[in-house]
Amino acid sequence: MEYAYYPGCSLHVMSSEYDVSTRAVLARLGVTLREIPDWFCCGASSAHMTDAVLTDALPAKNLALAVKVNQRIAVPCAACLHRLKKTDHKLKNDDALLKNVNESIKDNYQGNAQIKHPLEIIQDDLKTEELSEKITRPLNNLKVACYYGCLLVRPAEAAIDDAENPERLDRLMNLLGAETINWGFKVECCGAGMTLAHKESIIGLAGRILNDAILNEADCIAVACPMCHTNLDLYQDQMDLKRKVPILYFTELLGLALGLDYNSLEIDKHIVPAKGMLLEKGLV
Amino acid sequence: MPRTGVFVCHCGSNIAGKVDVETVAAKALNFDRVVFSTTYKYMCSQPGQEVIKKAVRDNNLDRIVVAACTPNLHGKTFQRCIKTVGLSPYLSEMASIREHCSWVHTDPDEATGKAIELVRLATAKVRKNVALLPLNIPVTRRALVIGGGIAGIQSALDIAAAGFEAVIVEKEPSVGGRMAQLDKTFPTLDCSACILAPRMVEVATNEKVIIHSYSKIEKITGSVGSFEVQIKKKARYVDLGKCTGCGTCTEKCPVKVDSEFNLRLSTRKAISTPFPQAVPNVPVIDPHHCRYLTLGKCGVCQKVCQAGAVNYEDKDEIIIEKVGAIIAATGYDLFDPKKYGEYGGGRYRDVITGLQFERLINASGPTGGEITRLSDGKTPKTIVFIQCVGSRDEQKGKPYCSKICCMYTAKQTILAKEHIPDVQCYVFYIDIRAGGKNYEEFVKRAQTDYGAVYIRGRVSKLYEQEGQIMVKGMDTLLGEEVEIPADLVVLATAIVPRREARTLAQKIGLSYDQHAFYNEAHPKMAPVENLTLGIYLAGACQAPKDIPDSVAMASAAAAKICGLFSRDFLSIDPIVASVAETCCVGCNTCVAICPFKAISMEIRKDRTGQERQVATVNTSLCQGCGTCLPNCRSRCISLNNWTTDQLYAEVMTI
Amino acid sequence: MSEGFTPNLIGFFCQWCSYLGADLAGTNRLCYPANIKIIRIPCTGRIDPQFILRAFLNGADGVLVSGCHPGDCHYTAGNYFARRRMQVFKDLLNFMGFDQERLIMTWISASESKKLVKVVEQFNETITRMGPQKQLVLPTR
Repeated sequence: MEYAYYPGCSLHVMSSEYDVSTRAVLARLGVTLREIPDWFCCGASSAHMTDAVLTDALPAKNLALAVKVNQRIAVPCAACLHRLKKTDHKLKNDDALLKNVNESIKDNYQGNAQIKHPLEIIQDDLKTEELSEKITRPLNNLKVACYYGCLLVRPAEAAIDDAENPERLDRLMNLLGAETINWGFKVECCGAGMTLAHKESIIGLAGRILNDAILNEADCIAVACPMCHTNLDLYQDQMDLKRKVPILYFTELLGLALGLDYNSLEIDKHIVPAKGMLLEKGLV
Repeated sequence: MPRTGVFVCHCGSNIAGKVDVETVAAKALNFDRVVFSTTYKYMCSQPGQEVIKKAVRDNNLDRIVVAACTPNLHGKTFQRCIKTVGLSPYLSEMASIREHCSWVHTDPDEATGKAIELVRLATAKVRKNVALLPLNIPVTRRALVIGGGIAGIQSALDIAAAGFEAVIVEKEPSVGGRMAQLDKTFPTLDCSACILAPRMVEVATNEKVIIHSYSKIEKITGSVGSFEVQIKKKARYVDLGKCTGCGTCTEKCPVKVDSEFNLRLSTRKAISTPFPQAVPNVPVIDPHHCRYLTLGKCGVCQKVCQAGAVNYEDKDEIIIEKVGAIIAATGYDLFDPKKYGEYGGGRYRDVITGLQFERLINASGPTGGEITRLSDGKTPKTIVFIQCVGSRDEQKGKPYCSKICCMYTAKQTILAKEHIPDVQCYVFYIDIRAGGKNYEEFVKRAQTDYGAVYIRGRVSKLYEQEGQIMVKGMDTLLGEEVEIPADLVVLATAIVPRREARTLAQKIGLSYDQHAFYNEAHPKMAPVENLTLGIYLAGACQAPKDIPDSVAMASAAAAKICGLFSRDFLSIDPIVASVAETCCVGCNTCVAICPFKAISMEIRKDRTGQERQVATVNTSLCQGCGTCLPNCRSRCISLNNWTTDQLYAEVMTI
Repeated sequence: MSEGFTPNLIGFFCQWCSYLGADLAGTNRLCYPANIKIIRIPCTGRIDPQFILRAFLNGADGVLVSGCHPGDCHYTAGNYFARRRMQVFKDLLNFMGFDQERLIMTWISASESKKLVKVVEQFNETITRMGPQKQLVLPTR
């Protein structure tokens, strides 16, 4: 099985460990990722706030480049996924817009991309039994709080799961042997792009999420979005928390369960160290 | 030679404000057979009708066209008007230059042009109109009441009081409906059961009322005056005649099932009555859960029944009732709050619906009137009520207001305080709608005397934290977010029509709106009639309604039916098909196509004595749809008032 | 599209649903093109395809037949008969080389005044784009 791969900017810089672990687990599961040559920024949160043309042109150009590699595109970053899927949805339903956009990007995108988050690839394209067979180090004794954030579940045309009570991550974690907690902050806002612009918001919003995870005795929080990861991970020492909570990409937990080498997953790059907890649980 | 008069109505400024009525009247004189035209401010008014009558007399008119509102509003008015001056009512037509013209087009020239065209069509049609004679049909003086809730009970009692029979068909094992599930009623705090139970007994003992409980409407045929109703009496497995209602079978039955009546807050037995005051007080066996009926083992209820009433061989039974009129009083269901993922989508046990709360506070309910949490049985100290769950929400729910929730929520805060003196109630609302006698005062009392805190705003999210339900919302008056840790959350879910409302309507030929609420014939002037003659509406099947409104509507529908039953014969429009026998070739096509089986073949002898078959229409069965006409190969079927001549005449003038 | 062309549209509307929908459009003061004339009929089952043919012969540019939604016929089945007849009739029009888009059938209930407006607007747009109907119209008209 082969996918065109759109890592997005975050995964190349700040969240490179998400990139590394995504590539590693998908390779282990027999999915080949081919990075799209010459891909560039999807517009992130700035383009659609400032320019109507760029809003669709940037994702459309990337999609046009992507389908030349493969119609099926893997996008691990929730924000990129959101941008690409939203534009794709608009283009698939508006011929006039598609024509305009194609003119402005000097390309001929046909609206034929299938955009998927790695979580969807693992859960929908692979057989559950095959995945279970490859688990060599089940995450027994690990209590995980699955955190989805906003972008993976909203709006409907870009969502990969239910907006109020998503369960994809929980299902995967359960399959890996982990216990997941039933909590009320799965889709609560973490502060989004205010990470550097307004630190106080992040401390307040992400702090509430972390507090509830602690109340529910979670060992760690599993995420599938680089922005959520940063917001939850970055300021824990400035928050009023009973203890620190390691924030792990779901791909890292999956990697551990699949028996991949701890160091190869680059988990030590996180601000809140996870190694101690993982050692304690016998997962390293 | 027809002499047509055209009467153009100003309708104040409703028409004249857009359409140049004088031009319309002037142009009308050019149309075929039009010999007179005039305008008047309000044609439907008494002086307006005098204008018509005078013109008919003075100009020897034999046909009229009134260009005014839709024929659905005043068609009958003008028919009656010309009848008084000796013209057949069927020699009138209307051109709808208000609803179909002045109200929907903006450009005065365009509107005037279209009005002229509409008048042209109507004058063309009226030229071909025929002085029909009304049909007199016999009336079966019995009424069918569908639904045995308070609306159905009230109308059956009123009809019976006038001396006519009423047949109630109730799908549940007992009559009583939603009112039987309620605890107390606003704004007087009367106990619901205490005011309902006497009515239930009355209806059960009234010899003019027949109750078919645990029964469903299968099919209804016929029309006003003579409907034939097929009713499926579901197998009860308990003989209504023999059972004494002692309750021993229920006591001994080993199978427990979630109670529908208690909204799954408790269990019932596989043989049970829905509630203690049930009418008839005879249990039914639930065949899906009864051990004997599913596995062939057990049989305890039969063994303990001293009356020998339990019969495992019981079968569904079809019975036929003949009635002259029908009341639909099917009531309402509640919106399923599972659609609101932000309120837990049914995941939180301590988030319940308003009706479940009614069962909780009811002394004969599952907890004996104790308000307790389903999760841990503890008494809640903080209760949050959320109004408009599914109402006034075009995104996820229904666009309309459910009307009763503001009132019952206020009532529930009062009752909660009476049950648990140290409870604190919060109510999230959009607006408080308390129109009604003593209603606003009642809501005020909930706040001032019982300390309920009203917060204007929506709740964005519920989540569990440390055994409580955290209610996160917005106080839009203070402009700030609020978060309330609640022990119990009660959702005031929207009123929706019964799940079966649509299928039932299709069986009867009732018209309904986009939500499946049944349509009244006119929103103001005919609120309890349906467009289908002989069918009346009562209660919440028409729109969300509280008890007093439902009862009033039920009595009104009963009064309409008593009026209908006061005559031996009913005079109705003769809009039926007829066959020109001389040219009928007897091909049988119409017989097969008629949805009402109104056409049959008969043998006729011609002059030479040769026999041939021709179609004939049974006018008491024919409903006048005209489906047979286009299919008639020799074009020998005609439909009164919609003849091919009339419709051609219209088409020829376009 | 021909400049300044206003099509002559005819609606055959069932008295139980679409005609009431048109009444409701009036009550709600919705707005739709004035170049449609609505003829009230008892049921779409009553419509003889010859009425439609006659309308085209007399210069109608488009004919809109509208009845009750499937299952909702006041007379239980008239709309089903109409649907079949219209389909067969359209095939005939097609066989004759006539633009079948000039005849459409829709379901509009008594409460769907907004749908009515949309349908009429769209139909008007289609027929305006197609230009005047000249295929069937009688030379004398």
